[in-house]
Amino acid sequence: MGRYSRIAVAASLFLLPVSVFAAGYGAAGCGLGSELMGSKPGASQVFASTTNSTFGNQTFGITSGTSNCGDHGLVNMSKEREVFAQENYTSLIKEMAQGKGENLYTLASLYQCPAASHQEFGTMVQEKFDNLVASDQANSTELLSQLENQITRHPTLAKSCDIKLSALN
Amino acid sequence: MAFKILKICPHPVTFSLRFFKSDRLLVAGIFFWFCFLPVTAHAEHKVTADYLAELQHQAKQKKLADERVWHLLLKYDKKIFLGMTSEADGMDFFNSPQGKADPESELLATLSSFFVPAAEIAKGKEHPQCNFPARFKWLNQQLTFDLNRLEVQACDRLDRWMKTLDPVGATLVFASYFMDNPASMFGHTLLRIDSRRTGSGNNLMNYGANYAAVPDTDNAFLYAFKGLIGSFPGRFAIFPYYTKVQEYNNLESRDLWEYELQFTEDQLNTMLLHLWELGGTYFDYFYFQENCSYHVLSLLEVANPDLRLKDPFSFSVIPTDTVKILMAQDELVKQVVYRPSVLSQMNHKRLKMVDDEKRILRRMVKGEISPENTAFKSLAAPSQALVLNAYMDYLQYQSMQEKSNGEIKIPRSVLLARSRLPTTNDGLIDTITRLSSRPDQGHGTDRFRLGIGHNKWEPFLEFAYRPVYHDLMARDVGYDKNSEIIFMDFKLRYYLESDRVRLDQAKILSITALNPYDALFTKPSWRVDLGVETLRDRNCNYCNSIQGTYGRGISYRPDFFSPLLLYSFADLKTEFSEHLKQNFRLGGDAEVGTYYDVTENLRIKLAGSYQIFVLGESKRFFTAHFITRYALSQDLDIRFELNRYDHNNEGIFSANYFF
Repeated sequence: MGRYSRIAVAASLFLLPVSVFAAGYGAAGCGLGSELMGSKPGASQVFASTTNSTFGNQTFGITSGTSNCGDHGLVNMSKEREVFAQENYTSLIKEMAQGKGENLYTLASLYQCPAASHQEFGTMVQEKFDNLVASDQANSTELLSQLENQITRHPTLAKSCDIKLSALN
Repeated sequence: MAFKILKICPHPVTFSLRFFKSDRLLVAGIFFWFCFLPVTAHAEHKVTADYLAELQHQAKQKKLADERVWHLLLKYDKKIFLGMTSEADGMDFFNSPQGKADPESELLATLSSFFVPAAEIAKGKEHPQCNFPARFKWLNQQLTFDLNRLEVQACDRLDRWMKTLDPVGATLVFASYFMDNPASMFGHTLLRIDSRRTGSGNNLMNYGANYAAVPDTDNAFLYAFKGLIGSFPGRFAIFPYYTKVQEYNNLESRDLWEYELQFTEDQLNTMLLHLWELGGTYFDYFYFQENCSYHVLSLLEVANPDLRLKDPFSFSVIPTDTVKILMAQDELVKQVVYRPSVLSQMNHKRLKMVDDEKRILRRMVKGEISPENTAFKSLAAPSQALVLNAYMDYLQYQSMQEKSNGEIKIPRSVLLARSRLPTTNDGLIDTITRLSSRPDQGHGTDRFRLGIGHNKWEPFLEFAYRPVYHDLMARDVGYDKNSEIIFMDFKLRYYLESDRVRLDQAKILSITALNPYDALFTKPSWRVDLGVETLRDRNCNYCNSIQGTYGRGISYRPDFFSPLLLYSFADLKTEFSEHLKQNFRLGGDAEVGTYYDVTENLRIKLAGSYQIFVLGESKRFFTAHFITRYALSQDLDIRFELNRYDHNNEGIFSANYFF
């Protein structure tokens, strides 16, 4: 256990609204970065993963009402970008270095960049990669603030994208 | 001040002009409350009671509690010995104390719950109308509520939830097996809710609904056992789809298959309202019956009650069965989309590489060279980009596997080196080489076998049945090419001359994972086998033994799509039988063999092994096997086998039907 605790990817589970008061219905529980067990690939885990493969996965320590989530159990509109970037960080920086990719274009959409400008967006992040990921210790929050900087400075993206609106339309 | 006025109960309009708007409302409200409430409340109560009785009477007349939709919404199912019972185990799911087993009492209680005054709802709780919006919607369609006599409650959280999800489509997502894990061959299914908000090309931003067990143990055996007997609660959850893509595609490296389904917006709306109802309850999770696939199918049936998706399932619901059943419906599946895992993406790139590129990648993975190295720099730019793309996939996969609490990172130096090279087209966008095949095109998971054969002494007939799952001689479209997993495979033989029926073999569990040698991943092959066997190397009138085997080995396939697979195993083996001296023998064997696909439908297996038993009854002997299989269709093949055990030979011709 614990090996995935920092990987929010592992099993973020947004429970459907469940009451904070006793059982039943009420305020939503919502958590990111919960842990996953039983799906460690490999022979020693064969039984755990046998069940896991059809069980989906399990979570522990669901936190109620983190700031990323609304009381309806979904990601807050204002946090969509941050949560997306954090969850897909490795995929994102990989695609940024390559100058294209699905996660990258999704992020571009989260900045309201129209589909026609996605290729340009890809070229820009590849060119500015140095600035976007400043060090091995960089994280998704820094990545986004650097990215917003670069979008603002870009001759065409500054006009076609919108860094203020944080959710998909 | 307000009270003073209210004491004399003036006409609201006459005094209201003297107040600001907000005060006016407040005062008017209080005034009404004081002046009319006793009367209205009483009258209203009577109206309510009358109207409720009327609705309940109508519902009984129309026999709504017998309707399929009601049974779907409440998860009622005819159970042997139990009669009509709901699968839901969280009692909050019911309004009537008898709700779990009595559809009519639940329906009447649900109607009555809709009339509960909002004032009576405890803080932090939702009104029943908001807890059970799908039931409200359907009952309203059937009974056409008079909204003057039944007050519709505002459901703020539900409204925001629905508005965020705003469904225009639903997609069944199937996660296939992952490397070196035959158990994952069963796959997993979840449902993606495609929203109007996200638009095309942003599927990652949609939400997914997942049904999963919430186990209370991390002991693998307990975990499996409790899963089989249904002692874990299963719950529905909803999360952004990209978290599942990260988990399956990248962390576990499983290919995803997305089946986009055809539903109207109204159907999707009903399905989501129903999902909202399920959010607060739980079900006992049965690994083979009431599992993720079963519940996903239930959701789809709620969306469109004309679909009958669960009826054909007898013993088990396996994720691959669900995709087959969806494909079998008229015009339900719009299209199938393949989402390769990070390993598949890497292997796809490796397939395109020339030898030089492969060599450089291998040295990079081993840590011998970096992107700064001259050997790497000597490659042309597109080659460099291809190698780094594959290397980054590899690093991403490895970092996911690492047992560390550190952030997952591909080293910045590698990223930076890649960012200075041009964008390439790895061919992933236009033509993806599918490293796994469509699960709906695989053979059925149940197998029935009918055979006729002859051994050293006499002819026999063979009958075999197993519920799951796949063996290495079966056609492997839709399955992992290098694995087999067999569960509860019972084989009977009827010997014609001695006129006897014998249990020839019972494989309780048998798993083989042939992991072909790969320069980047050195994973041994392994197998485990547990069950009842016949002692075939001796003449004891087809006596049985209980046997267990565990072994490891090495396999080799020249490349991913090569028809040739070579393997070798060293096994530990033990057998228990009263026909053995000391009632057991313990030893091992060494086996070598090959599988070869002559065509897609014709496969040949050749294998030989040397068995050595040293404890208990000691014995040494050879076995040899020659098997051919010809697939006539997706679900039917014929096989011819020649087996030799020590000095006993047998030949069998069989037909295997999968369903």
